[in-house]
Amino acid sequence: MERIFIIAELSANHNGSFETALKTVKAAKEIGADAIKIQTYTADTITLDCKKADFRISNGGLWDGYYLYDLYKEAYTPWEWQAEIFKLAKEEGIICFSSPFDKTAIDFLEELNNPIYKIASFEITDIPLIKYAASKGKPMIISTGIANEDDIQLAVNTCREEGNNDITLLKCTSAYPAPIEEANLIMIRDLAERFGVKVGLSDHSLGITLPITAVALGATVIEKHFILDKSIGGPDAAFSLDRKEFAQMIKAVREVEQAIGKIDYKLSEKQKISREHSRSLYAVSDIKAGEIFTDKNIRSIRPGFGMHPKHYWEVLGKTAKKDIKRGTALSFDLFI
Amino acid sequence: MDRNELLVKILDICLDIFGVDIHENTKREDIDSWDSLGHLRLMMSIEQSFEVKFSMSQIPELDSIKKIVESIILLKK
Repeated sequence: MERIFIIAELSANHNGSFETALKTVKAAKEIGADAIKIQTYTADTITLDCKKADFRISNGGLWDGYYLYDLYKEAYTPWEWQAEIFKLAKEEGIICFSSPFDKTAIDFLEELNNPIYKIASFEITDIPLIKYAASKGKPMIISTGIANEDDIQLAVNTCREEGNNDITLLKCTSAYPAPIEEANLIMIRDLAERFGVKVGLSDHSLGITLPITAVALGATVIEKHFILDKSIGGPDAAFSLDRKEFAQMIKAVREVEQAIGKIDYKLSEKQKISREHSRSLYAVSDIKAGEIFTDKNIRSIRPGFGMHPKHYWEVLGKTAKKDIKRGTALSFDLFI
Repeated sequence: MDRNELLVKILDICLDIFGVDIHENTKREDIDSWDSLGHLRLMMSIEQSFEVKFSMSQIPELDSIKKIVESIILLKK
């Protein structure tokens, strides 16, 4: 049974409050997430403070009209918080790791003993970033939301050239929230086969249908935005799961894990007992010694204590050796 | 807690994390689900359960049940 690695993405769901960030770490542990993930960038390391049209979001989505700099300034997790967040996570017993967005972030995270590097969808083409992160020898989790096949291959090759084969690719729709009909979860299987890596889902949809389906399709990592309470607000609140919803998702994912099981045609002890209720051959009326078995006096019925129904045609036309009462399970010693 | 009790507790944790039965002689390479993320989860869970702290350099080296048991005994001394 593969146990799914469930990541609660804090992202901007602290909404500028250090206290909320710490409470979210604790809550992620309480509801049973395996890891809490943060993001390590500043508005200055990820973009420019520039009011040219290039730097204005105009896709009609959740953040339409924002300038990139202003959005990231609102959404970023201050670096001076991050050591405390890592420390608290360690105390609470939940894995904490981060997505770096430039080389300085990786150097900073190395000092915090960041155990996993997550590359965000929009950074998959930042090959120098991937190369540097992979060189640290930690597991690499890479989102593929805006990537074409060549981008993915290049990112995977870059990790491997650094001697890092510990790669998980996440299927992801880079829309916020992500429409379900654009999920293409069947890609999860193909990513695993085509690139020879572990796979998962970074989900920005509303609800928990996609993570559950992804697990059934072979995902071993699920990442989902987590917010203590949606009334906190902030740029990611609309497509994040709150405590109750996230706990429901974890419960469902754990159930799917167990339901998937393993390929094994041997019967369990329970199934063997249940076979007693399968069908077998029975006398369905009283049969006198010397009487012929016909489709009127023997039938394949439940339960399963008699001869296997595959012998039905052999038994038809045979002669009863002795008197057989209605409801007697047929056996080879009852006829000649 | 003696060595046997410690071992039983570790095996319980492993069963929960990896979903398969393992024994004292199991190594990381023997279990498919004992991958890098599973290893991080195992280390975190053991640190919590036994109130010990592994160093970052130690964590990748703890790749068998025996090594984990021995390291906890050492840290508990």
